Amino acid sequence: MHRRSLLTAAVAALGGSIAAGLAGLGGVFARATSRWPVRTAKDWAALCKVGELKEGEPLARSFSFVRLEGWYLEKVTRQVYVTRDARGAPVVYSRRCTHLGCQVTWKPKSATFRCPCHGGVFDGAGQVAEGPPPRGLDVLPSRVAGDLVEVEKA
Amino acid sequence: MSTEAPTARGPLRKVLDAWVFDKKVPAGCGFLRALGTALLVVLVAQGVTGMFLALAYVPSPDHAYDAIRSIDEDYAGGRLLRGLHHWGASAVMVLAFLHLARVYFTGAYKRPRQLLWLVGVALFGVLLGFGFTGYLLPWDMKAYWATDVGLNIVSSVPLVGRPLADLLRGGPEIGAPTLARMFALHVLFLPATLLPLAGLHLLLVHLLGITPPGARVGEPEVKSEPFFPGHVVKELAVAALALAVVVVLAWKLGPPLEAPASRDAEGYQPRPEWYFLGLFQLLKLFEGRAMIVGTALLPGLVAALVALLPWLDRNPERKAARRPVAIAAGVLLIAGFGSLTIAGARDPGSHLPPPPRLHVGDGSYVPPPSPPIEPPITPPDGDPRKKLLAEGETLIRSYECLGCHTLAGEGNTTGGGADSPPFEKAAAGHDAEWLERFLLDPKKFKPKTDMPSATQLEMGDDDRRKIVEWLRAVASG
Repeated sequence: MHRRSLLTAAVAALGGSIAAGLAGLGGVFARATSRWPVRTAKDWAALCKVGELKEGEPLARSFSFVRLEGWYLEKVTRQVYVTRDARGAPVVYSRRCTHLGCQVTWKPKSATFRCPCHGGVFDGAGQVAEGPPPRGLDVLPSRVAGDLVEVEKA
Repeated sequence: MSTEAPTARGPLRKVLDAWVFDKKVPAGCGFLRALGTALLVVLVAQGVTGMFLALAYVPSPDHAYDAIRSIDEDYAGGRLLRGLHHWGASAVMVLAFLHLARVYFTGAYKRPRQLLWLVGVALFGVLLGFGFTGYLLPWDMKAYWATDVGLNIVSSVPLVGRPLADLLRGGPEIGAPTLARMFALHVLFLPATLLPLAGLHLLLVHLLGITPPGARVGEPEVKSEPFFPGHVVKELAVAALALAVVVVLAWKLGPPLEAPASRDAEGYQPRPEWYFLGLFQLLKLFEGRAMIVGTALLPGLVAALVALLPWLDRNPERKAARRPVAIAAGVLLIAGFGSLTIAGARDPGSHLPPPPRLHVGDGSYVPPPSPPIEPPITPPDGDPRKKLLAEGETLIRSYECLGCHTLAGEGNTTGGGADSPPFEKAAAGHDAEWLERFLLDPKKFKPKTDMPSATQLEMGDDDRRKIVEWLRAVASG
């Protein structure tokens, strides 16, 4: 009986270490492969001339850049609206709805940005007016260089 | 030999008897109790069509869409193959739901089948996982945006959501790593999870048997009847019907495909596959910070309640009339999810058709011109061909080949016969290697010939190669 309980303990110990080892390895691999390294060069993309921006008329623009994602050279295109904020300074909104990421569109009649998926509505200042979005439209880092509005390629 | 009884059966026969021929089922098992087998059969079909699709598919963003298009349009039966897999997925969802509903409404999850139910619920989750990961693989608009929304839903779950979504996405947004991951999950991780779970599910069904219709928990089975062939026929009939529906849908409707995936969704209204439409609609109901109610809390709560059902519902009755609460809850849940699904379907979104496909040959696609081939290097003293012809002629004259052969009617015109052909014909039908070997040892090829070998003629390697080149040039006119 003594021998049997010793062997039972050995089975538990060996089985436990094998299971723990495999689980640990799985964790290491999951971590190692969880993100491909992404490399982007810091750069700016011109979107429009400052003079083109009119109060309450956001301009739909897109910009592209190339980044290295693991081995894959990916061309990334981003959709944005360029407009002026309350003080008249240029501001760049991402067109990704902050709810679940669908693409918002400016509706001039109601002067709102509308999401086609779950009914999110944002006002002209990018704040939530209606529907499920948890926060206003994301503002992308931008600058004015000469007479051009530029956005960070990221 | 003598230790075994004369009626001993082979091991295979024993297994078949235990699982099929000697098996009993409770009396009164109808077609509703055949849904699980139909689901199994359709899943096997999904496995087979999936394996064949994998033969032609490439999980990389720059090739996936074209690979899918090529399967549809270039492979014999490819459209049907992908159609079967696409509509098969819908059939899996329908059958899994009906099977689950049958078990729920007949109270079959009750003691002693709690574990069987739990494994079944886990299997349902795995099947939803198959649906979700299979989604992205065609890399069209629907694939991209539905996956984007789906991963953002995962991301909204408190605490674990964000790391889990990052793990599934493999980067800041959907890209090459996401596609590689979804493919790996769809064809490796999920099947590796499905197989043992399904095996366990079947084993438990076999050990515990089908629930006697209407029997209270603990009540002994009153009547039983043979499993084979009466119930097997019902199972196969339902399976055949399900497969037939899938084939007809695949044949008539084919697999859908939209425009290639793009981040630019101007005018595009993404909608998920129909079995996710209820969840999709649910998301519209919760605003602002309450959005996690729709994305995580409510679905999570329902999933937890469903999984723990056998431990929550202690009522020993199985007859519907004696379990009004459970029946009402089930009907309410189905009605709720059903009306959400219908509401979601009323707003169908948009469909961006694939762009016209470019083909080589019909003028729609003109391949870029091949890079110019380097011109042969011309020696400064003129045309290389003329030079070769002149050098070769000098050589054959110096080795006195014209003693037997002829060149342009000059040489031994008395006719050495077929043995010494004119040089214009000597190289016909032979490549350079053969000609070289012939010159090295003609007797090996024509034992009776008088032609001297290269060694006998003291012909160097350079000369021999030049003569071969010259022979081929002369033969080609």
